[in-house]
Amino acid sequence: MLIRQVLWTDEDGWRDFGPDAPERAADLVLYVAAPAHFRDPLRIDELKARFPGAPIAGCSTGGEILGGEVYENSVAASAVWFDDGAAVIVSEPIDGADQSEPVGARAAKRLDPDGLKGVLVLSDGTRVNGTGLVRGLQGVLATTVPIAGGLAGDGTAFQSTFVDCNAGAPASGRVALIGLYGPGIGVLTGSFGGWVPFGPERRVTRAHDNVLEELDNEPALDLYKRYLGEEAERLPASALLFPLRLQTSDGHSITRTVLGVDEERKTMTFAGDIPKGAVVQLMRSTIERLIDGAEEAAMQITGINGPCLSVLVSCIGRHLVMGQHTVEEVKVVADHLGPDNRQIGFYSYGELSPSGLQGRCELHNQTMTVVTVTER
Amino acid sequence: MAKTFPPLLERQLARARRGREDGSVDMDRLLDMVASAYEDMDSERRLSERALNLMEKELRAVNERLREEAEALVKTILSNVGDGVVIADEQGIIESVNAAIETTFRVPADDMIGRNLASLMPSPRAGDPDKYISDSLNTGIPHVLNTTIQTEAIRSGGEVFPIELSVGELLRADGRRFVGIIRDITTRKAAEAEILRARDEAEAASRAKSEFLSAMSHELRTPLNAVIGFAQLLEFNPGSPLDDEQKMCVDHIMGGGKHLLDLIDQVLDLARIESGQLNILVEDVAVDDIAVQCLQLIAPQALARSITVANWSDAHATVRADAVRFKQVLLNLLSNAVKYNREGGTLTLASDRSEPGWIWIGVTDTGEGIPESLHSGLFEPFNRLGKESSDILGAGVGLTVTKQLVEAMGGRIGFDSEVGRGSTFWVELPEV
Repeated sequence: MLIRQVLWTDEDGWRDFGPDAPERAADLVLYVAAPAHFRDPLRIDELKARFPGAPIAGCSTGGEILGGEVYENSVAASAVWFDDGAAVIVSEPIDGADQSEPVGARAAKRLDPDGLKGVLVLSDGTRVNGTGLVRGLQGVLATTVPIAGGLAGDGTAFQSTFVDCNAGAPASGRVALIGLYGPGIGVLTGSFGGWVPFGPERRVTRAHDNVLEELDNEPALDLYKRYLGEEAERLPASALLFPLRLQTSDGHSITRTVLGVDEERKTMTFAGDIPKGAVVQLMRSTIERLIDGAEEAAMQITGINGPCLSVLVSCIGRHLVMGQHTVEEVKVVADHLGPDNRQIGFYSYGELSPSGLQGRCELHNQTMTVVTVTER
Repeated sequence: MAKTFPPLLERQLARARRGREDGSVDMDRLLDMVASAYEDMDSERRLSERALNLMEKELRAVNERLREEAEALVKTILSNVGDGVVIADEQGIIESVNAAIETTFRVPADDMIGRNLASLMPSPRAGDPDKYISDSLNTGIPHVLNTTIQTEAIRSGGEVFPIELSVGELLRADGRRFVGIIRDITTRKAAEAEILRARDEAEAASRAKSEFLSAMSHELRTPLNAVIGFAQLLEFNPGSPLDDEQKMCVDHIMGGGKHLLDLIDQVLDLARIESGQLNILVEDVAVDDIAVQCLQLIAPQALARSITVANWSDAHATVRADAVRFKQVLLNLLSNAVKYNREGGTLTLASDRSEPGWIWIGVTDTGEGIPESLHSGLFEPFNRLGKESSDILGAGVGLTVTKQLVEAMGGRIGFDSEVGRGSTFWVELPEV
C-alpha cells in the first residue's frame, strides 16, 4: 500500500507529499476541499487531471485536514495504491432528509457484499438526516463491515454542501459510498468527544424527528437560552459550543449538535433525531478537553503497523470552540498513529462511526472520528 | 531534579516543544495555550455558577410545587372522606377539623377549634383523651395510638353515640400533634343488632323445624309400622292362611306401606340436610365392600324385572366417605337403574380412577335415557321428569338427597345419558 498526498493552498499552490506515484492509476483518490472550490471547480479539475483513471471521491468541508495540519480554503487529497485491493465508489442523489433511509439502503445495495472490508461514507451535510442514512446503510450491509465517514460541511454557513464521486461534476444532494475490497485490507475506527454535561437532566416531552420542541413541558429554546446566559446572545452560532447529551432508553448516550433555532416556535433543530422520552443534558467543553478527546479517539485504534491512511472526521463545532488551536487535536491524533500514517480529513456536519462496545454505526456530533485503512 | 507541573500544563509544555529539535519550549505558543486555558476555565466557571443558581431556583420551585400539591391532596382527602378527622396539640386542644366532624358532631368547625378534646366525649369518658395523651407522652407507650377502639362521643344537643376511634401521632417541627380519626358507627351498631335479632329468629325457627321433624318422624312412622306389622301378621298367620285375593290385598298394603316409609325417610333426610342437621362421619371406606353389599341388596328387585346385573370387578380402592351414606347413595342409584331400566335390560356397577386422587363409581342402565331438555332439573327435589303419571313409584326426592349426601362427603356427582341407550349416574369420592 502506497499513499501520496497533494495539497493546494492560496499561498503555495500545489504541493506533493510522500513517495512517488507508481506508473499505474491510483486505486483510490480521496479529497476534501473548501466549499468555494466546488462553486469554482478549477482546482478540483486540476486535481482530477493529476490522477487520470482513478476512482475519485471528495466533499466540501468546514476546514481541511492533511498530514497533521488544518487548512482553510484548500484542496487536499490522498491517492492510494493498494498491493492487492480496490475501492468501488457508488453514489445516490438525495432530495430531502426524509429520504435518508431509503437512499442509504439503495446506495448500500449497489456495493457487492462479497469481500467488502469496510465502507467510507461521504454524504451531503444539509439535506440528509444522518440517523436515517445510517439506518438505511445498516439495513443492507453486514454487521461485520465497519461503516464510517461524515457529512460534508459548508464552513459555518450551513447552506449547501457538495459531494463528488467519479463521473460528473460535484453536486449538492448526494451520498457517496467508498467500498474497500482486498484480502489484506483492514478498516478500524475510533471516536470520542471530550464534552462534559452540565445543568440538570431533562426529559424530552415533545419532539419530531430532529426538531426538539419541549423539555420537561417547557419550550426547549427557552430552557436552553436560560442556561446559556450571555452565550445565548450569540445564537445560533454559539449553539455549536453547547450540544446536548442524548441518553436513550437502552442507557447509552450520544452527543447531538444544534443546527438551528426557531425563535418564533421556540424549537431547536439538531443534526440527528431527538426521540421523545429520551433524557438530555446540556454539554460544554474546553479546548483542552477536546484535544484530550481527540487523543482518546486515536487511542481506541491499536495494533497498526506499516503504511496507513487515516481519515479524520471532526465536527465543525469543535473547530469553533478551538479556533486557532484546532490543529492541536489533529496533531495528537497524528502523534498517536505514528510516522507511517498519512492523515486526510475534514471538519464536518456529522460523523459516522461505530460507537462503544456495541459496534453498530451511529451518527455522532461533536466528536473526533478516526478511520484507518491498512493493507497487510 | 526536573520540576513537575499539573498534568494540563505538562501536556501544554509537551505541545510547545513539539517540532523543536532542541527540545526547547516555544514560549509564545505556551503562553497562548495557557491564556486560552484560563479563558476556558473562566467561561466554564461562569456557566457552572449560572447552572447552579438556576438549578437551585428550579429545586425551590419544585419543592414549593410539591408542597402545594401535597397540601391540596390532604385538603381534598380530608374534605371528602366520610370519617371525621381532628388534629389536636399535646394539651388536647383542637387545632383543625374536617367537614365530616361538623356533620358528625353537628357543630361548625370554627366552634370546634380551640376546644378541648374532652368536649367531644360524654361525661363518663371526658377524661379519656387527656389520659391517652398523657399516657403516651409520659410512657411512650401508645394507648389509643395506632390502634382502633370503640367508644362513645357526644353530639351537640347531648346525644351520645357509638364511635370507632383511632389516633395517630404527627411529629412536626413545631411540636407533636395527635390526629384522631372518628367514625360514627351508630348505623352499623343498629345493623349489627338487627343481624343478631335475625339470627336468633332463624335459630328459633330452625329449632322449631327440628322439633317438627322429630315429631313427624315419630307420628308418621308409628302408625305406618303398625300398618306394615299387622299386614305381616296377616300374611304369616298359619292358623288362618289367606286366600289368593286376600294375599294380593295384603301385598298391596305392605308394598304401599314400605314405599311410604321409604318416602318418609327420604323426605326426612332432605329436611335434615337442608337444616344442617345431617351428621356425616367421614372415614376410610373400602369401595369393594360397599359395592358388593349393595349389589346383593338390589339383586331381588333386578330379578323381578329380569334385569341382568353385571359382575362387580374389584376396585381395590379406599375412599373418604360416610359408610352408611355411601351405601345409601349407591343403593339409590342402583334402585333408579332398576326402576328406569327396560324389562330384561342390564345393570352395571363399575369403578375407575378418573383422575389422581379420585375414585369414580358409576351405575349404568339400559333404560330409555333422559332427553337433554330434562337434564337441568334432574337433581331438583320433587322433579320426576314426566314420570309422575307412570307406574314407576317415586316422589322425585331420591336424586336430590343423593346429590346432597355426596357433596356433604366432599364428593362429586353427575350423569351421562343417551336417549334410547340408557344412562350412567356416577359419583366421585376422594381416594385415601
